[in-house]
Amino acid sequence: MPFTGDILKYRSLAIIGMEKNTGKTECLNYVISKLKARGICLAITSIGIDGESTDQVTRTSKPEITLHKGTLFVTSEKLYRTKRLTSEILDISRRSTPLGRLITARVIEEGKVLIAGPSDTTWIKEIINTMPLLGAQITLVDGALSRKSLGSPTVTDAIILSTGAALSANLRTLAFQTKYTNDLIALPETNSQLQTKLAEIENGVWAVSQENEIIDLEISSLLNIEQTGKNILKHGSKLFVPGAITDKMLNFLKIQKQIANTEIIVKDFTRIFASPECFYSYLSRGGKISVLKATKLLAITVNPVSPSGFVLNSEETIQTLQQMVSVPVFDLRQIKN
Amino acid sequence: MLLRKAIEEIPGLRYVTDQIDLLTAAGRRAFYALPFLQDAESISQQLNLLEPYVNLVKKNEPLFQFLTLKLAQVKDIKGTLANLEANNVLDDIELFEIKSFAILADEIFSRSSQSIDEIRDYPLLTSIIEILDPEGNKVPSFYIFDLYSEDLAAKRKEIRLLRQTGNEMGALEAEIIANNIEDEIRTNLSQRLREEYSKIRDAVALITAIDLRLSIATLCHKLDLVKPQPQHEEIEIKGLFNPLVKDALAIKGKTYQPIDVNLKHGVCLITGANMAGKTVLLKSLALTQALFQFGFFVPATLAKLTPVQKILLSIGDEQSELSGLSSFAAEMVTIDRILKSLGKNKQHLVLIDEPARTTNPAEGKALVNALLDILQDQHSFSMVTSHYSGLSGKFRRLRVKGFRENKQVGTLTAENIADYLDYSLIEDPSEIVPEEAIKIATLLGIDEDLLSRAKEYRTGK
Repeated sequence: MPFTGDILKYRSLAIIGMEKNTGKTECLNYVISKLKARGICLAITSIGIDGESTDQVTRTSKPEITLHKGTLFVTSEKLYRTKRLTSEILDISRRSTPLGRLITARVIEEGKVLIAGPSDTTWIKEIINTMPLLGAQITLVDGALSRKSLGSPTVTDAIILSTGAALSANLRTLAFQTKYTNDLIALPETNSQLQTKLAEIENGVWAVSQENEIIDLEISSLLNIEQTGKNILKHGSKLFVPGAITDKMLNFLKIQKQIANTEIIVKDFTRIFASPECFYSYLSRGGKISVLKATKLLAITVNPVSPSGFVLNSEETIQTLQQMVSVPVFDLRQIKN
Repeated sequence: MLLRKAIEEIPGLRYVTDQIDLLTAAGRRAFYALPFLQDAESISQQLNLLEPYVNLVKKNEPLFQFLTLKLAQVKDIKGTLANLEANNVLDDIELFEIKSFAILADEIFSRSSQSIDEIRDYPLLTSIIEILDPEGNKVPSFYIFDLYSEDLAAKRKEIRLLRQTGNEMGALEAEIIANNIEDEIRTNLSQRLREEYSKIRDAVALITAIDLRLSIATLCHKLDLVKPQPQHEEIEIKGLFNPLVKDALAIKGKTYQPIDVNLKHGVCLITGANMAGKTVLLKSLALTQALFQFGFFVPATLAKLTPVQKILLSIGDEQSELSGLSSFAAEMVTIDRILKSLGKNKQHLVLIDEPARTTNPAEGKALVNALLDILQDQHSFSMVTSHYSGLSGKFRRLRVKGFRENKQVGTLTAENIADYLDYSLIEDPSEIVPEEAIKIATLLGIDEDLLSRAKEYRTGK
């Protein structure tokens, strides 16, 4: 029974698919069944309706989840009405999502339900904080497909990443992209003094002195870094960028003479939009990137079957990936059999 | 007129209403739809209903804490209530809404009925809770409980067994039957609840009233407002203050000087130096009258007030630039509107700030004299401020006391003005207004040359 022991150390866990059909729902169902076997009371919700609506477009199977007696779940009222299980309503939110208010319920008789939780991270955080009051020992968050920001570490304590042939039929490409995401998640956390100082800042670009003083560089973003005409490194080469990190920015910084001492602090790994090539090139020149709050990657699951019917060799895929990352890699179907 | 509209018209009213913190959605809707009450009796009634809540807030009673906590949990069931009234079958979410509302409302009513008269005869919701709580555990959760039907319980058991033995097809068939039973139960529950509709509606109305009054009471306490006494003849206020100005002064560490004022039918002319608080006085009166007629307490230490049909204002806040009129023209249009509202059996509160101040003094004085003549004969309460001397009609005259003596030249600023002025009103039968313009300018440290020349012109030397 891989990685379920680890899960119990965390209060909340997000399952994020790198692409549609990488087996995220399968992974979710797997985790749910393993936790059930251990008698853990769990709560489940998802972030946004993004995954749901695109699923209807591509006509692939809906992310319907099987829930067992006693499980708590939070879904929209529209989807609650389509549930195929008996459940007891415990609460209705005052606020509304595009699919209506959110219903908190407890399963009475097991069955299937579609989950569509809140659309913003603050609300998800509130839910993660409330669920223990209703008896949940862990809250699972179904991260929407192709919108990784939901698994942002500011939301859950831990992550499981789902990847697979749907991402790329080329094993090398699949492995490379998965490793890149793995490396982003593994970025080190900045010191705790800076965490509190920088947490509330939402925009701009800031210099961080050696004494941890922060100085507003008074530029809105680094998108047009070459054109600002400002010497952004005049207050030292440690920068805090709450917005997006792009290729342009990394390419600019890596050719400056201070590169060996340059450090970019980002809010979390989902803010890095740079290509893997630029990212690794920046690092190899000596540049550093750290995050305000790190999250723990527990495992990577692989689905060797792509929706177009192409199938990778499961064992070879696992081995290739496992050589590149330190967290355990699994094909859930292989484990079940 | 509804409160929503009055907020647009009465200066300073928005400052007061913006500070309200209503706890329910229905309360918020009701608040902005409060009517402008015109008879002493209904105002009295509202004030008397409000009073026990103000006492709760003042003494910070446990019941106040309890109500604040519980009202914040009340959810808006307007849509569900409409579906129930229309005889629709309610779904689980709606049934849950009614159940959790009924449990919460019952808790609120039973805890507060002894302390608040209005809640003494509250609608009994036990029959509603019983319909939706067959297990009798009073927990606000809902599903179609097994206890509603033995058939349903048996079907659910069957589904479970079929699932366990891997018979998905069999489970699916049984599920369809179970769903049908559930639907029958929902129909039945909805019918039974329909019979209780008026009780639920009354409970919603009472909860809304409690929220409204508790929030208004909190506001009254916060702003230090007092319960006014409705009467039929005069307007008599002691310790009148303006919450907006008072708070602004408090931020600067200054205190507001409350004033006493009374109005009888006819005109009361107010004179006094610039910056002596004449405009603030008119605004405070308008605000006090409005709060009184919307059933609030008022900003004073004692207030005996007479309800009026309308509060008619010309306080120079007209956006004349926007309408393309000069400030004089805009003012005349406003005054025309006020005059058209007057009439034999009408009792209004008319507040006009420095009429005709932007035109030549000779004609201006004539216009004001004429205006005062007309207002003096009305059965309305009118207060008019002016700097003009020679207003000759027979009406009451009050003067703001104005500048205290012994102040140094050039030491007056916007910051310390309050230290120099005595804002209280005194009776002054003289037709000659006090001349203090040059004095004020001197205290402000305005150009000496300008002021000495002005003095020469004034004395004719």
